[in-house]
Amino acid sequence: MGYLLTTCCYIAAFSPSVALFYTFIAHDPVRIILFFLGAFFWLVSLLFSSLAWFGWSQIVSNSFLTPLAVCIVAQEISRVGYFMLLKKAQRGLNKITEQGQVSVAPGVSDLHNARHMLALVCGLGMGVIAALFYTMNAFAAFSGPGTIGLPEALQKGYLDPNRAGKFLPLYYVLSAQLLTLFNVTWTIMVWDTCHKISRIPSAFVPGVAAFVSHLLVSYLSALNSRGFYVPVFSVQFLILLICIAYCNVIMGGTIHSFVNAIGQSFVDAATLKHLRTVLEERRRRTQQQSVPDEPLTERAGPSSSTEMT
Amino acid sequence: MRVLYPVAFCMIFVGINVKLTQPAETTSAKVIYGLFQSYDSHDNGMIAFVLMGFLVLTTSLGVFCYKKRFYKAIKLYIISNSIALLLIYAFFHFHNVAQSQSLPISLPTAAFLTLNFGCLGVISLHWKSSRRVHQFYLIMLAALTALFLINNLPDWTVWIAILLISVWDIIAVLTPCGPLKLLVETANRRGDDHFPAILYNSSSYPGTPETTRSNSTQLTQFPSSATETTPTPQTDTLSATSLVNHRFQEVRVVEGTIRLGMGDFVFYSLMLGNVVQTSSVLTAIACLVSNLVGLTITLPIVTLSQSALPALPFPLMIAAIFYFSSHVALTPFINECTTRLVLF
Repeated sequence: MGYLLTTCCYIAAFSPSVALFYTFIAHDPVRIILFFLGAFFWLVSLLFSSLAWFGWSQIVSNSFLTPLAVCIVAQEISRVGYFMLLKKAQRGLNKITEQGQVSVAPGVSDLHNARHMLALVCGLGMGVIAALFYTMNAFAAFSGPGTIGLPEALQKGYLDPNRAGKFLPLYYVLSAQLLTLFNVTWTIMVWDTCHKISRIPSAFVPGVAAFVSHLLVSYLSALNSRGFYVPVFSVQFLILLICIAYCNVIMGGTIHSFVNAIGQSFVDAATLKHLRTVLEERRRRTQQQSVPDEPLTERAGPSSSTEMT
Repeated sequence: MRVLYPVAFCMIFVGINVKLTQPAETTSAKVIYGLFQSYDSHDNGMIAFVLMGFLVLTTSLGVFCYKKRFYKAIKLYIISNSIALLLIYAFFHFHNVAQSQSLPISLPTAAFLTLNFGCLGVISLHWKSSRRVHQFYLIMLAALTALFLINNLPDWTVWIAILLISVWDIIAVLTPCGPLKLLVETANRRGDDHFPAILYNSSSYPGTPETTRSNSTQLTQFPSSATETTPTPQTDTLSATSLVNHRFQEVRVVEGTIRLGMGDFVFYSLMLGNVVQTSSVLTAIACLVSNLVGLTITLPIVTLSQSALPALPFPLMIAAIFYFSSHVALTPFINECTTRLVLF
């Protein structure tokens, strides 16, 4: 039972990130490396902020919100640092490849012109590791000999501040999804600022928006421990939607196209477009296979000879 | 990239195995069995130093044998190592796993399974096999060595040993008269690509997109690796006296081929196993990621500088920073966040 619940939680919590990973990252090794680097940068920021928390908690007892701000600042700084590192690496690689050698990491040079894709890849790395760190302890506790808060919450039917009863796994799953997607959007925003700030002075807007929304989301979630789960999550999802729309605008879309795309995706999901395309491709492949091309005949050659012997 | 997958695989394998063999309730206060007879923390440093001395000795001996062309001795040593590990230690280890998972496996079944596993391993390592199987058994060898060390060393000894070995790695590879440098130079001078070091061969650059070399390298690499299988598997891992010597921890680039010494595999996964044993899964993941990232940072430097570099110190240093700080600050912070459901 516990293991089943944990597995379900993991699947549900990481399904958006897995989908993004498979569509954008998995086919390119360089992107996987960048993904891991993003995770590492997030870890470093977490390390610094947790050290700050440790120092702070020695001085002021029972204060959590100030270190949270430090944590957020550290994360944004790490994003900026990662951006600068990537720029430096790209410049260095360009310098090397100009000398006529083969590029050490061709993918990085290729991604030079696709900065939003780069931001998505790295942000997804950050988001996944954040969600993993956020939920792993809780999920491990779910898998254990007992489920947190369950019998008591069922019997008494009231909300313990720190234990949301039977809906606790759902809240963790939702938080993990939010965290993943939010990290992607924040990275896109911050990197857009970093990219433009030297030329256009008014380009600080996306970065500031990312920072403010990050603060807002974090401090809203601090209300969770008082039991306001439903309003907090609805507001957070609203913020996420706004962030995604804003990222769409940054990438060159308009609000109209965004709404259109969402409507289209709903229609596709309702009419099982994915399944249709898969079937279509399979049909096409079988049609291709009916006309055997050269490699097939080559491969068929030795087997037929063995049959003859 | 080609190197990162096996390293990750090895580390995760060791982590899972350590988790499996670990009894459910004891997280600390490990009882130390066996060879070294150290039940108190006094001897920890001593053990590490003994280990270190043994390592230096065997490294120098191996290089000496190689210089004097005593190939037979090296080969014998390696074969005995791999047999001891893959057959005997694998048997004991799987016995342990089955016991702690309370799986009732009869003795003949277990013997049959390990015999299959080990014999295939020995054959594929020392004779010929397909490349995948060969690589798989190289990884298994490293993982089993790491498991052996974890199960037999006290917690702190592992860290001291890792520290010492990183230092030794730097000395052996970078100083002008270091044995590994001598080895690499001799091999280069003789021009044989397959000097008896145990090296994980990846047949590509770290970052080449896989789509471009899906077919061509397969065809070109396979014969060369097949010819290499006989001398390559130098598993400087365990002797019959069951001690370690990891001679060849270096990353080497030969014509775009990255080679990672098996000793690196062993020590990465040794560290990860120790982390899994002594702390939470969270720390383990942090260490895994930081280790892989350290390796990714090391590899381009190797490709750029075109020389052998020690691959151990940098990743292990990053991972150690994470490990120790996570004990102090990281895990409590995360716990705080998680219990309050505060997004960060």
